[in-house]
Amino acid sequence: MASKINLNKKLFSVRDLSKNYDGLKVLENIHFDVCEGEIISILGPSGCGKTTLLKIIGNLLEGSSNFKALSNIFGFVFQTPALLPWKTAEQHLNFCKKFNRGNNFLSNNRILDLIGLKGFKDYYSCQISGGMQQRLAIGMALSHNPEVLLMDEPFSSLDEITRQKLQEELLRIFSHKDNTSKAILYVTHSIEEAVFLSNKIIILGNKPAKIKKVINIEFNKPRNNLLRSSKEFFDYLAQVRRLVE
Amino acid sequence: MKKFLKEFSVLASFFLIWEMAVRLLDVPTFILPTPTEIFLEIYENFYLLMNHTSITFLETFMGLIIGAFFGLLIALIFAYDKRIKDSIYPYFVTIKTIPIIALTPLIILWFGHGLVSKIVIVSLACFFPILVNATKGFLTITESHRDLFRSLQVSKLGTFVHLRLPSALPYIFTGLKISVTLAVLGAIVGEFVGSDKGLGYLMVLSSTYLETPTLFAAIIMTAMIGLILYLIVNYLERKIVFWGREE
Repeated sequence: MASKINLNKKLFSVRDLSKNYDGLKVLENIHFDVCEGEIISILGPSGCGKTTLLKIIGNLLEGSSNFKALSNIFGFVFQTPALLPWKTAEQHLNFCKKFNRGNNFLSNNRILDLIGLKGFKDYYSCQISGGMQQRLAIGMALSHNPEVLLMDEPFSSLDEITRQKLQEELLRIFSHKDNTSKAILYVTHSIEEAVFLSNKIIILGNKPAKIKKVINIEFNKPRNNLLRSSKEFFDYLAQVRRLVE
Repeated sequence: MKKFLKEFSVLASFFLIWEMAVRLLDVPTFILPTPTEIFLEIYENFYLLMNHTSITFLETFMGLIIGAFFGLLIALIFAYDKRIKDSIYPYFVTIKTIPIIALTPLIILWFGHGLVSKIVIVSLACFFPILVNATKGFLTITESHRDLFRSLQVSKLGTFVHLRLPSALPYIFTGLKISVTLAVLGAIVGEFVGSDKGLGYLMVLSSTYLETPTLFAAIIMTAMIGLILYLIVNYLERKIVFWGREE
């Protein structure tokens, strides 16, 4: 994992991003860079504008900023997996590829293999569990070779055990050779999740949301279940918790 | 099979008690005929009965199709143009509150005693449940789905085919099921008010002449029409909307 990070190569920057809703300031002067290999968590309380920020970056919402998203480079994973229960896992992937002009897409089998849904190709999305649905949603986001994955609290509706498993899975997928995305922007309200997953945490303050603090996370150990009960992990948790309050 | 036997035994004992009660208490036929008299009536006048049934079935079926067609069409327009929806929908809701029976004499006056007036009545009765449910169906799209389709830059047509239509289907079937019941009702009411054929006409006629077994036979046939149409819709729903309604 660590070897893949090349913090020198900038993918894109967010500059002076602000957003008003009917005169109410929601986001103010958001400012950060996204570099290759980074998993950046955007951490903040519910309703602070994290999702809005992600949607502006992904060009789903308009923001009052100079920032122009380059379409097609983003793959979205939403809080509730946006699946189509009348389609099978494979049809979902085909659907995503169909509406993206591009080529050299990874084959469906490789994607299903990557997200751990091998053997579920012909299952309808209403037949698989919540965790598998979110895996499929990740597969859909990856299917059209995005440069950046934008994830909006993707595991927040899952149970704790499944959530931890999927967090590790996400890291495995991200470092896999078949993965083409170069960075992840990850919105979350869970401090633990942010610490476990990211290289960088952007902590947002409330009303209007602006960047309170950015901290870099570096572990000497590999990011797996053992890390969660290690001292350095707890130290980071404590540090972030202090900053959030 | 066990379930079927249970249901069948309930029905059989019901008829048995009925038969015995009427015979023992010596109830006159014009008040309450025995089940055997009713089935004999159906058997003896089968051709005549089927003739009336087919007329009512045709009215119900055609009305259902036409009502559903227009209901879906208007629902589509509503789904794609909010301004039209906001300016017209209140009027539809107002018209909907008028009982179909109140409109029947007028429709008979305009369209005559034949099949057409009944088809108009049935379509009108079916139109509203389909319109209301389909409009709701076309417009219930979760934010995640909308965001997904926008992030993939799916065209309007693609969004309709891959998202709006399939997510509306469960609602459309709900509307169809409500409509089936109303369709039979509309056809019978139409025939009551003005016609010279159909099960509704047969009911009026047989009650006038106190031919109660015929009246019962007509009621049974009416129930059959409703049941058959409901089963067809139900079958189609299970085949087409195999994923069930998403909550």
